Amino acid sequence: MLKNASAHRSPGEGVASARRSFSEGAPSACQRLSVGWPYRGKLALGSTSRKPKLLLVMKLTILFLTVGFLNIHAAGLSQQVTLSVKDLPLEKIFTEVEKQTGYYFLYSPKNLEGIPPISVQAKEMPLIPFLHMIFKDQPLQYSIGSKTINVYAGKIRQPEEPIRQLLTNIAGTVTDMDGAPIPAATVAVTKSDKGVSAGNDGRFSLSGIPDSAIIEISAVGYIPLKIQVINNTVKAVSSAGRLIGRNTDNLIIRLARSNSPLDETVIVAYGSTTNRLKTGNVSTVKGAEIEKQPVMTVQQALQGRVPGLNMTLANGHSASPVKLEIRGRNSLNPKVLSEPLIIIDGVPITVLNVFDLPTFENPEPGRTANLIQGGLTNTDGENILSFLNPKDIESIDVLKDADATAIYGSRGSNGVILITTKKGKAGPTRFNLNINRAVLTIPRRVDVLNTPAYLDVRREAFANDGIIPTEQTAPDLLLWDQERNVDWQKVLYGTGSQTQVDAGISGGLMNTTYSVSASYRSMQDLMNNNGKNNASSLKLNLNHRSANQKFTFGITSIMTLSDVTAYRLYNSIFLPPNAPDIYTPDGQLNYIGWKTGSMNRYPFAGIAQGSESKTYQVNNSLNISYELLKGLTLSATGGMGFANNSNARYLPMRSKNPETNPVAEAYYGTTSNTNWIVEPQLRYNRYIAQGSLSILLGGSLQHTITKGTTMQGAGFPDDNLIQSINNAAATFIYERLGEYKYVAAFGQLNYNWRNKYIANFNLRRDGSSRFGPGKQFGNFGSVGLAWIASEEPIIKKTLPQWISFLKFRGSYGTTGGDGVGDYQYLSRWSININDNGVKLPTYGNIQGILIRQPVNQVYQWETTKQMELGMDLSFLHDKINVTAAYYRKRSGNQLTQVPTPIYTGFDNIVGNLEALVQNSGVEFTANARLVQTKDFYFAANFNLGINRNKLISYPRIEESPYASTYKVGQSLSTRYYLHYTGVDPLTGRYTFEDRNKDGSISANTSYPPGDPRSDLYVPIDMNPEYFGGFGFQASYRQFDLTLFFSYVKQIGLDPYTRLRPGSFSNLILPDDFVANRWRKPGDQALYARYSTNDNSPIANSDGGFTDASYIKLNNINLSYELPEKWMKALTMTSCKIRMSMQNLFYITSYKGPSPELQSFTGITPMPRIISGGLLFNF
Amino acid sequence: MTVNYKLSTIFISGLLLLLGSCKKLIEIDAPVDTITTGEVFENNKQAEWAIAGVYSRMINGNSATEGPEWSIFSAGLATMAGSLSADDVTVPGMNSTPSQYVLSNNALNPTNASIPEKIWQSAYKTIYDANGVIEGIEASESTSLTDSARKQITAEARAIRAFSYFYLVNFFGDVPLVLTIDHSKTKNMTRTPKEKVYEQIVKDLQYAQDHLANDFRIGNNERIRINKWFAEGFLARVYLYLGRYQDAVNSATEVINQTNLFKLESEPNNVFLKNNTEAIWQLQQNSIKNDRGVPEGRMFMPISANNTPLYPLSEELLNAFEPTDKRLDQWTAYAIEAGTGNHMYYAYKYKVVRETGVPSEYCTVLRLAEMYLIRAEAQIHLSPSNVAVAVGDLNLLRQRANVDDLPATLTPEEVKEAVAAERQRELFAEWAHRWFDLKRTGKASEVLPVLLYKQPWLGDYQLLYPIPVKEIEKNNALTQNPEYNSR
Repeated sequence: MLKNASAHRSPGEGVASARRSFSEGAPSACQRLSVGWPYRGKLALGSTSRKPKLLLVMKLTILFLTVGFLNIHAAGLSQQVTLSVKDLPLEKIFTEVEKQTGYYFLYSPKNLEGIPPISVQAKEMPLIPFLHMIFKDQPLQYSIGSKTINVYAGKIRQPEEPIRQLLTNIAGTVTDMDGAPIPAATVAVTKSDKGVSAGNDGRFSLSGIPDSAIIEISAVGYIPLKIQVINNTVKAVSSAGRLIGRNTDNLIIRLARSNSPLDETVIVAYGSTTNRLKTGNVSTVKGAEIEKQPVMTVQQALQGRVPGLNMTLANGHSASPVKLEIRGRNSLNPKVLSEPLIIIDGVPITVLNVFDLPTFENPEPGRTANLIQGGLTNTDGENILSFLNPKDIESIDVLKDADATAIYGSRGSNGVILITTKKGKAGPTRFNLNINRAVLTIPRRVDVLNTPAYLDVRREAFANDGIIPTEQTAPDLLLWDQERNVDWQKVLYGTGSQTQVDAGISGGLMNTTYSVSASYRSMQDLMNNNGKNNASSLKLNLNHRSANQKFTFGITSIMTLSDVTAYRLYNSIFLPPNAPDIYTPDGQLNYIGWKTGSMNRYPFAGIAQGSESKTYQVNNSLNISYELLKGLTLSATGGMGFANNSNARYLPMRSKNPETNPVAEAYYGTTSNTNWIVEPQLRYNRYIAQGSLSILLGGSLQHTITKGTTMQGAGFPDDNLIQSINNAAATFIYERLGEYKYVAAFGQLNYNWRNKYIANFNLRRDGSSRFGPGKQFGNFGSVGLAWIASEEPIIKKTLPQWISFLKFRGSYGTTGGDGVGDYQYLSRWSININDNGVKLPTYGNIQGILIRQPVNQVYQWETTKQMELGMDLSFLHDKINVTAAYYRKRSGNQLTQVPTPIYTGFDNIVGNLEALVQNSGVEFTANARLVQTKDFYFAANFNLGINRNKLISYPRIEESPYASTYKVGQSLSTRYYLHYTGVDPLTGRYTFEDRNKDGSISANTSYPPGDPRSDLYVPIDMNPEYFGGFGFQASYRQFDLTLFFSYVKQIGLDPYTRLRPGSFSNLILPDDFVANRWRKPGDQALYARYSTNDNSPIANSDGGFTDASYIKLNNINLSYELPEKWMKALTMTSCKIRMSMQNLFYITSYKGPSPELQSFTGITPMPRIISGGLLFNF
Repeated sequence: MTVNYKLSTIFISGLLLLLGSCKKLIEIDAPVDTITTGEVFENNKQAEWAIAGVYSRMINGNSATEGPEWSIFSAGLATMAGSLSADDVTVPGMNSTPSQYVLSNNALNPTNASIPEKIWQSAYKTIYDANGVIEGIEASESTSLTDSARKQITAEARAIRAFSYFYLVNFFGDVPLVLTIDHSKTKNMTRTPKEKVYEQIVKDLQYAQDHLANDFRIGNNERIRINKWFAEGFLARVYLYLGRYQDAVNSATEVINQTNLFKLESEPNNVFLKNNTEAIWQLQQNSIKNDRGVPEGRMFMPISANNTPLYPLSEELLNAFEPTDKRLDQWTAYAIEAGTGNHMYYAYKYKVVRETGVPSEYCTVLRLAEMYLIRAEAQIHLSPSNVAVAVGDLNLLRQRANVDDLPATLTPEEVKEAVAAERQRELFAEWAHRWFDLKRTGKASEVLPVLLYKQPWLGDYQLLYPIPVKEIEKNNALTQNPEYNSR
C-alpha cells in the first residue's frame, strides 16, 4: 500500500511512528472538526439542555486539534514551490515538490492511474496553495502530516476543504502601546466566522487559520491592527500599532489608542465602551476639563457641559448643596428627590433624606440630597460631594437614557452620574504638585441709587401716597444722615480668597500601580466675616494584577475632613444708602443706631449668627476580579462609605436687640451616614458568529443608614458658653433616622456584530425595603440598538466622502422609582406626637402610644418608561462629531401622597396615583477639532438641551392636594399668575385683568389654576426653556487657552416690578424706569408711581417676570508649559503655569443682581474666582 | 479547568441562592423610634400604653403648639361649639375670631366652618385610635396578652368609639360609620344613616357594659378610665336621645343605685374636682409643661385678672337662675370690662387656668347629676303618672343648689319644661348639652331664632353643621347637609 514508504523512509523511527499516529489521527480530527464547528455555533445560541456536555466535547475537540496542529507546526510548513512545467504526470510533480520542500508524498500508485498529466506555473508559491492548485480537478484527496503529504482516492468535496485542512494556529497577547494587557480584545479572521475574544490578560489563541488570511485584532478604544499569517510567519499589514515577534505562538500585538473622539472611552454601567459603539446616551466630561476650573465642588464644574443636565444652586456658598436634575422631573411629589444616582468608582453615594426641613427655604419643587440631616446651617445643608477634590477626577459620565440606566433599576430612574477617579499609571515614580491661589469677588454688582436720588424717590412716593413722613415711617428722610452714601453691596461683599494645594505620587511596575494624593482646599468667604470652607483630603489608589494576569484587584480610598463657617444676611444689599453702620463705634451690633421710635429695623443680626459645620467622610471601594476561564470573569465590587457631620448655628445674645431681653439660642446637629454595597458579577465574553458577545450577570446589595440628631438649646447665661449644649437652660433634642436596603439581580447582554450592528439588552429585578410585603420587587429592562450605517458597504459607497461616520441608535426601557421614604408601609406606633420628639403625655401615669402613619402596604414601584432615538455623525475623518437625540420619558403609577378623607384616620396616605408625567426633549452636541498640527491646535464644542415637562394625565386632580398647584397639560413647574394690564393713568397703580369679572382682583392660590373664583390664570414656567454650553480650546506650542460659556434661556423674577420704588429699600432704578414712571393723573406710564405702601399683587402677575436668559463665561483657562530644556536643568518632568477664572461675567439683559440666583434677599452670591497656579511634575 | 467549573458552579448557585433569599436581604430592622402593631399588642403592658394613648390624645391633643381646646372635640371644643351654637355663651361682637362668631351668630357656611371641621377631624381621629386598638388586639395571637386584658381594653376602646360617634351624629347628622383603620375599605363610603350609627353606639356600649369592671380599680381608683358605669350611664343618655325611655330609666337607675361609688356632691363647687363622688368618667389632662388646667377652664376663664372672658355667658342663661341658686354663685364669675365697667360673666365650673404640679380638677365627661335628669325626663315621657318620681329626681339637684323644691302637682308638660330648665342650669357650658337638648326636643327653632345676637337668623339648617368641604372633595360619595350647598 505505501509504495513510497520505504523509498522515502524518514530518518528516524520516531517520525514514522508520529506519521502513523497522525495518519490514524488525522481523519478523526477532521471528522471532529467538521462536527465540532457547527455545534459551536449552536452552543452560542444557547442550547440549554445539552450545554455542559457540548462544552466538554467542544473543549476536547479544541484540545485535539491544538495537539494535532502543533505537530504540523513543529515540522514547519515554510516551504515554497517554484515549478513551471507542461503536461507533467502527477508523480513527477510530486518528486519535484519533495525535492524543493522536503515533504514526502505517500500514495498508492493505483490511485494515480488514468490521471492525465498537468501543467503547472508556480513561482515561490506556498505549499498549501500549490497543493490546492494541483489537486483541484483531481479525484484525489490529500492530507498533510509532519513531513508527509498523504494522497488517497476520493472526490475532493469542496474547494475550501484543503484550506480547512491547511490551517495554522496562532497565540499571543494583545496589549496597549505601553505593554499593559487589553482585556477582551477581539481577534478575528476577516471574511470568515473565525475569531476569539482575548482574555483579561490579553492572551488569545486562535486555531485553524487559513494561510494568507487577514486577521484583525481590535479592542474598544484602539485602532485595529491587521496581521497576515503566511507560511507560519506573521506580518502586520496595517500601520497603527505594532506587532512584536513573528512566531505564531507568541505574538505580542500592541494596539495604538485611537485619537478619534469616537473611540474615546465612555464609562457605562459596570464597564466601558466608546462613543462609536455605545447604544445608550452617555455624555462624558473629562478630568482635564474639570481640572481647569477652580471650583470647590464637582457639581459646579459640570455646569453647561452636559446637555440635559440642569444644575440649580440652593445658595452661592461653595459648601451648599447643588441640585442636579437630568431631563426634568419625573415625580409629582415635591418631597421626592429628583436627583440622579451618583456613583464614585462603582460605589453609590446615598444619603437618606430623614429630615423634613433640610433647608431654610425649601427648594421648590423637590429637594437636594444633603449631608446635614440634623441641625441647621447657613449654607442650607452640605454638598454630598464636597469630600471629592475635583482635581482627583478622571472622568464624569452622565448616563441618561433607558439603555444606559436600566441596569441600575430604580436607582437610575433619574439618570446616573458615574465619577471615575484618577488611578495610578505604570511607570517610574512620579511626583506632582499643584498650587493655586485665587481671589474671589462678586461677579455682578447692580447699580443702586445714590442717596440724593434715593431720597428723591422716597419723597415723591410719600407725596404720591399723600402721607406725611414720620420718624417711624421714614427714618431715611428724617433721622439719618442725608449726606451718607453707602453701596451696601460693597460693604457686605468684599473679596474672598481661595488656596488649593494638591500633591500626589504615582507610579508602578507592570502589575502594580499606585497613586497617593493629598489636597488642601481653603476658601475665605466673600462676605467680610470670616466665613470659610476648608477641606483636606487624602486619596489612595492601588491596583494589582497577578503575574498570570488572571487576578486583579484595585482599592480606592478617599478621606476628607472639611470645616465650613458661614453667615447669612437677609435683605441687606438693598438697604437705604444712608442707613446707619453695621457696628457701633465700640464694635457692637448697631441696634441703637437703627432704632426708629419703637421699631427696630436692624437687618444685620445674621452677621453675628454664624454656623459651623465639620464633616469627615471616608469612601472606600474595592474591586476584585478573577478570570475563571478564558472569557469568563468573576468579579466583585464592594464599597463602604461613612460620613459624619456635626454642625452648630449660634444665635448669641449679642446678635439680638438688647432692648428685647434677648436669650441666647443655639442649634446643634449631627448626621451620620453609613453606606455599604456589594456587587458580585460574572462576565462572559466570546467571539461568536462574526461578532463579539458579552454577557454580564450580577447582583447588587446595598444598605444605607442615615441618622440625624438636632439639639436646640436656649437660655445660655453668656454668649461665651454658647458652644456647648450643657450650658443651655432649656434643651430640646430629637433624632431622625432612616434605613434602606436594596437588592437586585441583573443581566446584560451585548452583542456587537462586526462593529456594524450592536444590540444591548438589560434586565433587572429590584427589591427595595421601602415597600410592604409582596410589593418589594419590580422588574425593569431595556433594549438598546445601534446601527453604524457607515460600516455598511452600500451606504459607505453612497455616502459622500466627507462623512466619515454615521450611526443611528435607539433605546426603550423601563426604570422604577421607590422615592417614598423609608418605613412607609409599616404600622408605626410612637410615643411622640411629631417628628420633633414632642411626646404624648402620660395618662394615669401610663405612657400613651399612638399610630403615627396610616398603614398602606399595597403601594408599589413607580415606573418610568423611556424612549430615545439618536444619531451620531462625524465629518472629515472624525474631526467634527455631531450627535442629536430625541427622548421621551413617561412616569406613571406615581408614588406620592394620595389624599384620603380624614375620617379614614389620615388626610393622605402613601400610594400610587394614576398620574402620568412626561419629560420629552432634544439634545444636541457638536465637537470639532478644526486644526490639529504639530504646533497649533484649535477645537470648539457646543451643546444644547431642551426639555419639556408635562403633566399628561391626573385623574381627579381637582380632589387632590395638588389641585391648586398642577394642571393637566402643563409643566409641573408651571405656576399661575394674574394678567398684568398696565399702569392705571388715573391712580398710577399697576392694574390687572379681572378675569372672573367679580369686580376685584383676587390672587387666591388655593383654587385650581383657571378657576372662576380666582383671577390667576397666566401660566409661567420658570424652568429653563433650553440651556447648554459652548467652548473653545486653542493651543500653540506650550500655550493653551480654553474658554467655556454656559447659557440658559429662561424666565426670571423681574427686579423692576418686584422692588417697589418708594418703599424703604434702595433699588435698581434705570433711566428707563425713571423716565417712564407715572407722575400725575393722566400719564400714560409704563411703570407705576413711586409709593411707600404699594401692595399691588404685581409679583403674582405676569408683569412680575422678565427674561432672565444669560450667557455666562464660566471659565477661562490659560496655561503655559515651560520648555523642556529648562525642565531638564531643573530635573523636572514638566512645569505648567496656569491662570484660570470662573464665573467671570454674564451677558444678559437681566437687571437683577444675578440671573442665576434670582434672589433679592441677599443670599450668598456665586463668586467670581480668579486663580493662578503652578503645576510641577517630577 | 475542573476547579474553574466548580468555582463557576458555586458562583452561579450562589447567585441563584442570593435571588432566592432576596426577601431576607431587603429586610430592614424596624425603626428604633417606633414599634409595630404586632409589638404593641404583644403583652398587657404595651396594650395598656395603646389605650392610654387614645385617652391622652382625647384630652391633650395632637399638637405641640395648639392648645387642645382649639382642636379636639373631647378637650373642650365640643363644649365650645355647643355653647356658642346654643344660647349658653355669646361672643362679644366681631372681636373674636370669625370661626367662633359664625357659630354664635348663625352665619355658618361650608367655607367658614373651621370649628365643625376640627370636631369632625378629632372625633374621627379618636375613632381611628380606638379602631386601631380594637383591631390590634383582635389580630394579636400573643399569649402574653391575657384574655381579661383583651376584653377590658377592647371594651374601653369601643366605649370611646361610641362616645365619639354620639358627638358626630349630633353635630353632623348622618356620618360615615368607620369601624376599621383600613382606609381602602372606608375611603369611598357614603354617609351612614343616623339610626345605624346609633345602633352601633348602643352595641359598643353594651359590649363595654358587659366586659368592664364595676369599680375604678383600673384607674388606680382615679375616675379617669372608663368602667361599666360609664357605659351604663352613657347608654342612659343614648336611650333618652333615642326615645327608649324605659331603657333610659333602667340604665340611669342602675348607675344611681351604685351608692357606694356615686353620690351627689354637697356643694356645686366640688362637682368638677378630680375624682369627686359625682364623677362617672373624667379625662385627666396633662401636658409636656405640666402647667395646664382643664381645657374648659382655660377656654372660659379670662387668661388674667385684667382680661375679659372670650365667651361671656348669655343674658338668657343668667336670667334662668333663681337668685339663691348656688350654681349661679359657684359656677359663674365675672370680670369687669375696662371702660364700660360692665360685669362680664363667664362659666366658672372649672376654677383653674394654669397650675403646676398635681392638678386639682379633671375634665368631667359624665356625672351623676345627669343621671337624675335623664331619669326624670324619661319617666315623664313614659307615663304622665310619673310626675312625682320625676320631680323627686329634679328636687335632689335643686336642693343641692339651694333652690326651692318643685311641687309634685305639676302637669306632665310642666315637668318636661322643668327638666329642660334644670338641664339648662345644671349642664350649661358642658359638653354641648344645651345645644343637643334644644335640638332633640324640637325647641331649637323656637328658642334660638329670636335671640338678638343670632340675627339675622339664616335658617334652621344650621342646626346640623356642614360636612367639611375637603371631605366631600376627596370622597364624592359624601353628601352635604341640606341647604349648605346653596350658601
